[in-house]
Amino acid sequence: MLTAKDLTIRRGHRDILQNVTFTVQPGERIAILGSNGSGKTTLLRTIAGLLRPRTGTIHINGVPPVSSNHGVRRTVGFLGHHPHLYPYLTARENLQIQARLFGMHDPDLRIETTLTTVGMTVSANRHVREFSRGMQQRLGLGLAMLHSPSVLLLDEPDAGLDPEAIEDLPNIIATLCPHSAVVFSTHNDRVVTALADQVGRVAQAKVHFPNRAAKEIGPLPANKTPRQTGFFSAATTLFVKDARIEWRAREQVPTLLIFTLLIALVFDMAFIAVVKTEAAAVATGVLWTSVLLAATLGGTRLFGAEHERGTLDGLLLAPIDPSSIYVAKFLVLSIETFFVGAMQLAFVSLLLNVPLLQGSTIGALALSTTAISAVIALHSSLIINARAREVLLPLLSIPIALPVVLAGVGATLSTLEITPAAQQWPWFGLLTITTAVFLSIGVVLYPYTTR
Amino acid sequence: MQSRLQNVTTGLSFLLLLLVMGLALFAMFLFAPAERVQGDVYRLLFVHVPSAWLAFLAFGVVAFGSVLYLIRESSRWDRLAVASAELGVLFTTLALATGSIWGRNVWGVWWQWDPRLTTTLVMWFIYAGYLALRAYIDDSAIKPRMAAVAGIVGVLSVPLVWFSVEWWRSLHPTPSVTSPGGGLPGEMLLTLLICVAAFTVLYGVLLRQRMLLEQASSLTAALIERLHTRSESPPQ
Repeated sequence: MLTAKDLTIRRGHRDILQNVTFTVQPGERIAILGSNGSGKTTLLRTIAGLLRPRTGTIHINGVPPVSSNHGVRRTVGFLGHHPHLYPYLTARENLQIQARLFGMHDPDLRIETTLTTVGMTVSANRHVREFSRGMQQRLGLGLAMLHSPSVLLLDEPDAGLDPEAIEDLPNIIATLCPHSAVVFSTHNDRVVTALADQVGRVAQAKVHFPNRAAKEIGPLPANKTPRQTGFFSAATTLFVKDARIEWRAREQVPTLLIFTLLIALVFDMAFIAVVKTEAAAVATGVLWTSVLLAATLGGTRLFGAEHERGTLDGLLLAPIDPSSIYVAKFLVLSIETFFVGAMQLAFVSLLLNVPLLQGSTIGALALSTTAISAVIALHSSLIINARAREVLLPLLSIPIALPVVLAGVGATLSTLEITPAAQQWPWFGLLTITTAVFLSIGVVLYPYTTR
Repeated sequence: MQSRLQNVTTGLSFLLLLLVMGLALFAMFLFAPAERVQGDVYRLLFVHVPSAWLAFLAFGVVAFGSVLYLIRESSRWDRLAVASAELGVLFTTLALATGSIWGRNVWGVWWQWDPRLTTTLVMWFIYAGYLALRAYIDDSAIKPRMAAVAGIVGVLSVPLVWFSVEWWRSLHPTPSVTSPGGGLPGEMLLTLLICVAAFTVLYGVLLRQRMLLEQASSLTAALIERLHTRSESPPQ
């Protein structure tokens, strides 16, 4: 059961909605109608727990959606303006990830039922990017209902659907979520007639419910309690998802690699061919500068891409520890940056005839890419709603990463015997400390960026 | 009543500031003797050291305000953090500028790649980034939270920068106030302490005024929004 009491929702300095109070019983469906910008989407996002009300309370089965209890999110299904879908995954893979994050029993059976109900069985193994808007919307509906939520929130569920699919909407909900309390917004009268038990109209920051009457509810079947999705299980699922997307899309690694090799070429030409600086010193400087630049560039879209697609909302609604999202992103960036750095190591060694390919340099590279990625992944989450993200990320991250670059340079100079070998260990000590500190800060602080 | 109390407190704080700054100027230029080797240029120390101290204090206050904002979610702590960050950038700039002018006279160059100088400049960039983040986020509902996280990361990185500096051979003088046998003569030390106290009062007064300004700015934005909403809604 969903209960909203005296809800006032503020965005900026303006109250979008004031004193909204209503209850939705299990199996009941309420349509929220209103003009563009009246606050329908804001209301649905607030009920889902993606936004916080200024005052008032929301309870889903007696528990607030914004709470430290991740389990309450398991009881909410949400379809936003954009379905929470990954374009480079198939329809089935999108549902499988959702099932894992929600710790579902018998996910295969439920996934097949969902695909059949939303009419996607034939296209189940095709990539979502090949789908029309209507097909994505149908799959998005299936994704929101996959885990049989007790509260289902649908923001314009008919968007992009053809008339036949709109006719089918009541059947989809009745099949997949027969006992859910449903709140949906729409501009389509046919959808209201077909779906809604009650209608709420948003006007002048108030929601009016004419003819409000409680629906008679019969006995409800007992739901199986889903398994708790553990921190490492969630982080692994998300890491595998990101790695698979990168493998298929090849958006990050090849471009970062070519960019850093180009930087190496330009710097080497400038310092060796023109200024005639010592090769070993140039190689060290170029290596660590380009690793830092590669990580910064890689981090720009780390959370930004998820935010633009709307899939970050999907992850934040999953009943998982938010820090697992951070850990997955950090791992992806670390591995990408390490790979690019290792290639750079080989390239600079060949280009300048400097013996950089040694165990200690590779070890320093592994530690430093970990530390740099930990900082950049956290900053990447801070800038998703900011303007000029591409400039802001280096501005925030590069000064913080300075100790890592200093330590990397120090360790490499000792490896190349430019400085005494005994000086190598303090630099490794600093690299280890920075890695531990930055990663701990990221894990502890990331959840605050998602509230 | 609250407004009158605020006016009285503001008046008293400015009076105190006037007194301590007057005393500091007297001590700096008339009480402290000229240095045997450096002459009068050493007097920059009386601005440089307090500025550097206040830069660290200000960034500590940013972290304090940021942590409390994340725990309490009260805009008061966000106002404290932003006000202190701006003052921190101001005092870091002052410390760098006075250090550079002193260096030109003593070392013969405007800038040395001395690790402590370099990392002070890095600290300036960390907090310039913090202020840029605030400037580039338009949504006032999420801005304080994002800034609070950046403020905590920034201050936690300062010790790392500090230790990385310690591991490089520094040209910077060791702390001369506390070193045995190498301390400042009595009048110079007393002047330095007066200047530190006066600059700390200056920081406190500016911090309070900046916080009040931030509060007024927030109230004005809310009033403008309310007027817009009223003019947009149809007549009843």
